[in-house]
Amino acid sequence: MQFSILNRPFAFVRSALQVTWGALRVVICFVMTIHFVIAEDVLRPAAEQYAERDAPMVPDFQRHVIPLLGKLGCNSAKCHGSFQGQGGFRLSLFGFDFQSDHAAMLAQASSEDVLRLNLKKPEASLVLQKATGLTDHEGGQRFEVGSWEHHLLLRWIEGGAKGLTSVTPDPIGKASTAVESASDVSNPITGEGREIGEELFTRSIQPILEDHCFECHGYQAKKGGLSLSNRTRLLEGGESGPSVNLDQFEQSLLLEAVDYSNPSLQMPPSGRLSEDELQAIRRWVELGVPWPDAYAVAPAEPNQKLVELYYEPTEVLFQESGQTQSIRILARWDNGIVEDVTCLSRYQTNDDAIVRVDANGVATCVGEGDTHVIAFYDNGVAAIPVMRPYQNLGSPQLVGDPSLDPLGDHSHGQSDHPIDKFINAKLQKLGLTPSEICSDEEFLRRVSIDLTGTLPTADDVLSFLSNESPEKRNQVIDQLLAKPSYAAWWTNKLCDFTGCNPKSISSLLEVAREEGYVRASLWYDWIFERVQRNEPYDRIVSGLMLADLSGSGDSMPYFWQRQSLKEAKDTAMSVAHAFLGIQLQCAECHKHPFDQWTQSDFNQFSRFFESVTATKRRSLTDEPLSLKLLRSGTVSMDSGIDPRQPIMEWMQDADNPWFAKAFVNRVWVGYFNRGIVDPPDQFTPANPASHPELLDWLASGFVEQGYDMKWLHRQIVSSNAYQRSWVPNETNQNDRRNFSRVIPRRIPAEVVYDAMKQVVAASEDAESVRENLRRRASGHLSMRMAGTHAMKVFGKPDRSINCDCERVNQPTLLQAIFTQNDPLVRMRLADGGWLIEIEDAEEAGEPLEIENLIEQVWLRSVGRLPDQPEIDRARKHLNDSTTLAGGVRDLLWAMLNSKEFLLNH
Amino acid sequence: MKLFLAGLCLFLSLFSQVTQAEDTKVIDWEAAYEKLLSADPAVREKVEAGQATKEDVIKWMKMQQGKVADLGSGKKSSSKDSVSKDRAAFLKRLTAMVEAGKISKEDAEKLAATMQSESGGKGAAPGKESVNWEEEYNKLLADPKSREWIRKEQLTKEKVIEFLKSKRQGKSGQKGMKATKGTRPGSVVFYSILIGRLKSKDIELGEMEIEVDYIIGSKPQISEQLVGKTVQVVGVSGQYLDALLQIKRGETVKVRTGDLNLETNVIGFGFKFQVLERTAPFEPGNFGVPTKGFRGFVGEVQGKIAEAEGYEVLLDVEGIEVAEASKAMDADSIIGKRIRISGFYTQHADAYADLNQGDVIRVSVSHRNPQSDSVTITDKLMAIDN
Repeated sequence: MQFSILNRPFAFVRSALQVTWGALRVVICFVMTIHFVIAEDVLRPAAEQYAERDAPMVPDFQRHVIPLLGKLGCNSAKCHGSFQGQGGFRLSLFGFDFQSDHAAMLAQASSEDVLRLNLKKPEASLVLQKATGLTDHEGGQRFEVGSWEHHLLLRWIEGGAKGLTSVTPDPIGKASTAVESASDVSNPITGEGREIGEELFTRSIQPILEDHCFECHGYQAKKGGLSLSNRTRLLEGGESGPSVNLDQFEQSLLLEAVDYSNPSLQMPPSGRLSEDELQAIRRWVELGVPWPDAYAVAPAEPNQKLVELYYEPTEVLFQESGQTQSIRILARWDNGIVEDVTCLSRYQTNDDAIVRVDANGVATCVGEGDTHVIAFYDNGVAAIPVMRPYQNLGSPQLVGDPSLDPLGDHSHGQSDHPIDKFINAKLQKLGLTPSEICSDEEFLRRVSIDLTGTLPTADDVLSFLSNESPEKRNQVIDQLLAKPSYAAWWTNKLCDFTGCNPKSISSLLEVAREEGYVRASLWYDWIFERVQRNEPYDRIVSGLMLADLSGSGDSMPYFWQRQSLKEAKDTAMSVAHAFLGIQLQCAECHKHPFDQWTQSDFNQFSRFFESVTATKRRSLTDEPLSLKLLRSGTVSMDSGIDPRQPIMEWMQDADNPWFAKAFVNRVWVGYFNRGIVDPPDQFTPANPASHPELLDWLASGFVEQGYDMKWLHRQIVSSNAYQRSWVPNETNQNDRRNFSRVIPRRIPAEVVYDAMKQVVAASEDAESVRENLRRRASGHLSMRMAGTHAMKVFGKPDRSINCDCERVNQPTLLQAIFTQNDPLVRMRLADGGWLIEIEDAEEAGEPLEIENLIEQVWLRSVGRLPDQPEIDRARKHLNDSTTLAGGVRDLLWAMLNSKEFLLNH
Repeated sequence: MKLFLAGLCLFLSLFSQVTQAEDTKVIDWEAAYEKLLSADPAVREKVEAGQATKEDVIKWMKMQQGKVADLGSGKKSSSKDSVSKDRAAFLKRLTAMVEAGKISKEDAEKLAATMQSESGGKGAAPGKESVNWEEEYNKLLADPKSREWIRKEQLTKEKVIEFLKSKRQGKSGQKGMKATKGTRPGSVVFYSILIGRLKSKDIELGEMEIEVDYIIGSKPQISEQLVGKTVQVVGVSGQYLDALLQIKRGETVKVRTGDLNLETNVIGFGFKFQVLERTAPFEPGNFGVPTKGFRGFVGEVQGKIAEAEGYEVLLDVEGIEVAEASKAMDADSIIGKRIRISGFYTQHADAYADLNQGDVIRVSVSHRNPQSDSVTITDKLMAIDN
């Protein structure tokens, strides 16, 4: 039996702003790191417990019933989890709103004259009749009569079909329990009156609230201080006073508002309700505004919590195709229960070319490589590493045996570099031999593009090749890091992550569109200055996060002033994506089974940004707030506090689980075209790192070095892993995720544009064309050129969505057409300064060395000298050309259309 | 028109200072006019656009001076007689301006209504009245919309009172100046279509030099000054850089402009309606420059649409119907020629969306500004079956 260390106290700095932290605990959710074996009582799997008809235990709604419905697919988007439900039966998508799911199951079926759950005759319950195929069911038979699934549900109904005691998250930050909501203050009416009232609520009031009221007064929104999230909040009312007068219901403000009798208070603002609707509301108020306990705007939080989901074995190692391995999933609850939930978990593989997994958690090896099997249960996600060594070299018996080191004689694979140690360890385990170290030409071109977004000049290449110093690669790395183009290129990337989009920060006035470019340029410049002086990354982020929104001070406010951030939730998603590498979109509506974020997490996090999103000029709490910060504790704030401050402090904490890792990983992607976590903005338990120890080392080193970006770049590009050749060997040709070789990738849009200009530049412009950032697509033109055909064709992102996938680097047919005959390419080749120089020299009768011209073509475009067959072919072409300039133009055109030019390799 | 009023208010404040200090001096109206012009871009724009002449402004200032002098001499400016006299004079002036085609009837009505409400307030000498700001604040809170606005803006009570004070003191006039927000520093809004020959271009910085052949815009006097000159157009970006890339030097280009620096003749590319394209060399007829005899026309025209873009129509005129108010000397001279009709927004926006090249339409128009090269649609737009 195993468990992992769960609770780590966070050492937060108490803010001078009197921000107080609640009980801070970071739950490293279900990512297994350290395992201890202890003896522990484990409940048998449900499949065994309910194998017999008369099982002694009554199933638990949260632990058994909902997971089973999930496993059977009942609450999927295709069936009852869809927005409108199916056949009048609606469950919460993926089953995380236990309260409403329970209410839905208890309700009478609309299409049949039977109860979904018949407590008197459990076997006659419609849910069983449908699922076993005894009654027509569009979803078909889900299990057989007499199966453990059948017994489980039957036993639950027999046991009274109980739901759960829950805690309802309060929209204004104060927790209220369901016990409270069921108390006198909530529902004073009892007996028949209550039944009538609740029926009225369900039939008439609920649709009115949902259609006309919740947009402004729903779970999160509380316009005018009024929240209609539950009866208590309704009675409390808003700024205009209590909504309902229970003693003299005719004088209720609610009735006054809906009647339109008060010109200054007319609700809903979109128009007066119909007479039928008004009558229903009057009747409801007259009855004392009964509110069914089961109906809550906010999803209820269960009172028992899963604290850990773990698995056996801790790693699956296959040796050949067809091998199978059963995976056991165990759940530990906060009440001490530990249960085998293998049969209630859902499974998926992250790479079905390596492993497949069935509904019972049995994994079958399909191919070589490494990946994860993901198990989902309740709120937990477990990622089980699965590996099958390549060519059977890395079988478990071989791992760790130095005499059988798969690196063997390949001295290039050995390295003392920390990055290489992590990578080589896994390569060894996988039986992969890394590719050779790349040539000097390849290295110079690659590192120039990756570090500075710039091709090396012909002189750079020749100088580097003639340098015999063993340290020349490290020297060139330092030289490149000192160039303004390094700052320009990485500023461009930071602008990508943070969403520097001219259109979104322009004024709404059409004439002001230019203003957006001016602001975007200021944003770019602000980051550029800081990257150039190597300001620590966390301080740059702090300048964005805590920006003085008045525009004064040494900060950058435009991040917050984007028009695209219409609601607090948009801002929350943008912050999470930009600085934490987290996608929160799904949690806006439902808890995604593959991710850990619930709707409550999302809503609480969004509330931090309400003020700044609404005003775009100030970020201050207007009342005391207590908000959960993405499961990393609770932040209590007095009124008048900038809620961004505690978030920034949390991000700057060395133990923050995402902040440093997200950036380190994105930088890694810039060099390898693949993240250690990939995609890089999906830090989820279901998307584990390929090299978790390496990511930890890089992130902790980055933090220890004071978020020194140059340290990070230097570490990565000086490793053998970065400097490997793209040429695969017999073992690693199918490996794309372990960095055993470099994967050639198309150069980014901005680099394509700048490189084409550089290739044809006049000799005297060779430097200026690289250094004049005002005229470089990776420099200041980055904003102005967004949306041009060239940038679109080569996948430059608009920076309009929260996704790293917005930058596309796939090759397309349009790109081939572009390089062949786009007006831009033709213009470059027609006006190229170097070609004009050749023309002038020809006209003046000056001698031109053909070999030199050919060398220049290759050095300028692909950063290497041509080989003999290439020289011979090029010479022939030049000799056949009417003019040398024309011939060289043809050669350049051919090179610009070569894979070698368009790929960074 | 509001800008114009704001300028006059500014003039009043300047002028009252002058009269208080030097009330015995003979007024130099020329100098006062120049001073107003330099102090208020809105007035300057009106004059430059031909919507008011120097004489109009001086006459206006004189009229206002009468009021200020009354205030200074202790005459009860709030007396009903004085106010009604002013109002009558003002209305008379407006009528004259409408007749002269300097402003539209609608604008005049709006202006009259505005002045009427302003003169009502002026009688109470707002600057000196004692205001209970607490009460004003509470009044504001009683209004749900205001309350919501205060909540959304997270304004403190002090801030709200500060805002109310500034509003009362007439600082809203400054807000009017923000009409040029988004333009480059030193520039004013200048919506027009500029046609000219491309002399040079920079497809990276988004700039070009154009030798101006013609400008279709709302400020004919400015446009006239620019014709024949080489202007720099800046601020082209995004997809329009692609358009610029495709246009060769020497070719005629059509550009929608957004703003203009009157000092440097630097014109900002206007994103409104998004026009940057190669076009045929300029021929007055092709662009709908009206004949001399047609200028001042009011009535209906019928013809075939040659182009419908940017809420404007180029119409090949087949027939006309002259209204009584028309001042055109030879309205028939337009038949068989092309005119540019502008103003197809608001009430005509939906119908405009259905218009296509080749459609025959009948439309009521007014050429209210004889200096302008386009006529404006009024109330009628009818598609005629071909």
